[in-house]
Amino acid sequence: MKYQSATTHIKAHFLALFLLVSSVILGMRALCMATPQEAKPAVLSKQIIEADSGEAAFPAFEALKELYYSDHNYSGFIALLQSLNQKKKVLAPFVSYYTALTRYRQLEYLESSQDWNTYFSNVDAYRQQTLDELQNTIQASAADEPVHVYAKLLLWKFYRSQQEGDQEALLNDLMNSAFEYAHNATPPAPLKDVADTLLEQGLKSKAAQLYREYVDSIIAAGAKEEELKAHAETFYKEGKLELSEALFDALIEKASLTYPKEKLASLLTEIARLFMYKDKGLKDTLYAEKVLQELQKKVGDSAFDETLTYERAFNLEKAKEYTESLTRYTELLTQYPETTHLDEAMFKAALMYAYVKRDLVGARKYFKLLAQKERSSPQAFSSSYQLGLLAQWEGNIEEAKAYYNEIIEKAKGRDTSTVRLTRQRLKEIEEAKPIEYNLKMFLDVALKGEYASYDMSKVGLEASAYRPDTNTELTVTSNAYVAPTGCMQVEVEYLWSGDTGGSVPATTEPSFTTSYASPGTKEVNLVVVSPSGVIDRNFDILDVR
Amino acid sequence: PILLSEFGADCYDAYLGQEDQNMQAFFLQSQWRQIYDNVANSKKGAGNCIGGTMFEWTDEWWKHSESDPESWLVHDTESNWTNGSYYFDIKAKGNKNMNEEWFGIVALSDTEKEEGIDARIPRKAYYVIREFWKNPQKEIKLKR
Repeated sequence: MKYQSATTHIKAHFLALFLLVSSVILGMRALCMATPQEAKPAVLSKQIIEADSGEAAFPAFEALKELYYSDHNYSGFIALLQSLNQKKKVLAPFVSYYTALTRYRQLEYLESSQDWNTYFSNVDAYRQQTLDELQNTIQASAADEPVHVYAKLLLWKFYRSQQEGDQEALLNDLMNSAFEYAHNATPPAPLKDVADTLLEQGLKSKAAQLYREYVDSIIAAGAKEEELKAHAETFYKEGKLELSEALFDALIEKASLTYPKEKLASLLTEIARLFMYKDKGLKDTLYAEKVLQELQKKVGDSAFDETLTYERAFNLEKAKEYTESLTRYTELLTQYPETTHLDEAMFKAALMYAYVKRDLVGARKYFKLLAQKERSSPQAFSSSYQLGLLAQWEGNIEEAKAYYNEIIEKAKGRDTSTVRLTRQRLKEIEEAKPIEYNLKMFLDVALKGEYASYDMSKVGLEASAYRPDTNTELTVTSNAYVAPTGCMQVEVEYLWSGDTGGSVPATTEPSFTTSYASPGTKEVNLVVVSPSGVIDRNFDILDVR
Repeated sequence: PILLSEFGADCYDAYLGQEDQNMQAFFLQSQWRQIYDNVANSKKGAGNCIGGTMFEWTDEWWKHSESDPESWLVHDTESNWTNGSYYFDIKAKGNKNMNEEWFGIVALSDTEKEEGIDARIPRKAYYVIREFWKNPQKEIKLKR
C-alpha cells in the first residue's frame, strides 16, 4: 500500500511538473505567435517609457502614431497615450501634442470619409480637445524643443483650416517660434517641416524665410560648398524648388567669397541652367534670371558667351518678361552678329517691339532685315508676312500686296502656315474686305494708342510645349481675369488669331489643341472681350522644330 | 414681408472638377443665417423676412440636358451658366460654375434603392442645416 501511495505520489508530481512545463511552453508559443502588429505597440510603448528624454522618444511616438492611423484607430491611440502619461509624467507635452494631432486627424478623416453623423456628433468636443491639448503642449514645453514648434504649427493649421482666429497673429507667432528655435536649438528638421507646410499652404515667402533658417542651420553645422551643392541638388530632384533655391543661395554666397572667378562663373551658370525654362522638367525661370543677375554682378559681362546670352533671352521670354527679353535679344544681336540664333532673335525682337512696346519703328527694322535676307528661313518668311500685315492694318494696301506676293513667289508652292495666312490676307485685299475680325482686334489693342493701358496683365497664355516638334500635339491655354458679376451671366469671347497651326479655335474656347506641320517661330494671339468691352490681349511665341 | 422662395448652392466645384460638400454647406449656412438674421424681432436685420424655401432637397439628374432622356441616368457635371457670387469655382472653364444637377442637400445613390427609389444620401449641408436649426445663434465652424 505504501508502495502504491509512493507511486501515486510520484505520478502526481510528474503530472504537476508536466502541466507546469506545458503551460510554460504554451505560453511562450502564444507569445511567439503574436502578430508583429500586436507586439509592436507594446515594443514601441516600452521604448517610449525607457527613453531618457522626450526627444529620444520621438521616433517611437511617430511609429506608434502611424500604426494606429493606418487603421484609423484614433480613439485607440488616444487611450494608449493616456496610459503612457500615467506611467511617465515627463512625457506630458508629447502626450498632449499627439492627442491634439490625433483629434485633428480624426476630424479630417471623418470629413474625408463623409461620416457626417459621427462628425457632427463629436466635432465640438474633438475641436475643443485639440485646442486644449495644444495649449497644454505649448505651456509644458520650452521654445527650443521640437514639440513646442510642432504644437505651434498645428495650432496655426487648425485655425487656418477653420478660417477663424487672428490668422496674421497666429502666423507671426508660429514664425517667431520657428526663428527662436532656429537660433537656439538643433536638429533643424522642425524648421523644414514648418517651411514645407507653409509652402503647401501657398505662403511662399514665409516658407522661403524658414528654408533660409534651415539652410543656415546646415551651414552653421559647418557644411562645405560641395555638401551644400549636394543638398541643393537632392532637393531639386525631389521637386522642392524653394528649398533647393535657398541652399543654392547659400552656396552662391559662400562660393562668392571662396571661389576664384572662373570657378564661380561655372557654378552660377550651372545653377542658372538647372532652373531655366525647359519643356519637360523642373524650372523656375525667375530664379534662373536672379542667378544670372548675380553672375553679371559678380563676374561681369565676360561670363556671358553667345549661348548663355541667347539662353538668358529665351528664358526671360518664357517668363513672359518681354521687355527684359527684348533687351537680351538685342544684346545678343549686337554682341554676336553672326549668332546661330540670328533669325530667331531678330524675329522675336521685332515681335516684342511691335506687340509689347507698340514700337513699329523698332519692329520694322528687324522685320526688314530678315525679309531682305537672301536665304529664306521660316522667320524671314514670317517677317515678310508681318510687314505685309502691318501695312495692311495701316491701310497701305499696295505695300501689303507687295510683301504678300513676294512670300507666295518665294514659297514656290510650299504650303506652310505662313503661306496659308498670306493667302487669307490677299483674299481680303482682293475682295476689299477688312482684316479678319479677331486679328484686327488684336492689332488694334496691341498697337493703337487708345488701348495703351492694356498691359497684358489680365489675360495669360500658356502652351504645354514651347519647342514642339512638327506634327506634335500641344495645348494652348488662356486665363482671363473676369470680375465677379453677382447673378448676371457674363459671356466672354476668346478672339484667337495669328498662327494657330492646324486648329481654328472657336470664340467660346479658352484653350485649344493643335500641331504645326512646318517649322519656324509661331505667334499665337488672343484678345478676350466681354459685353462691356475688351478685357485684355496677350500673345505667345512657339518655336516649332 | 419677404419670403426667399428660391435660394441654394450646388456642391460641385466646376473649377477643380470634383464634388465639394464643404462649399455647399458654407453657402447654405450663410444663406440661412441671413434669412434668420432678418426675421421679425431679430435685432440684427430688417425684421421683415418670413423665411425661405431652399433649392433643393435632392439632386435632379435630368436638369442639364432636359431633352435627352439618356442623360437623365447620368449625373452630369457640366455647367452652362455662371454666377460670380459662388466665387470658389468661378475660374472654371468659361466661368461656367453652376452645376444644375448638384443642388441637392441629399444625393441620389446610383447603386442602392430604398423602398423602390434611389436611396437618398445626406450631404454635409444636410447636417449643417440640421445643426443650424438646433441653435441658430451658434456659428457652425466650416472648413473652406
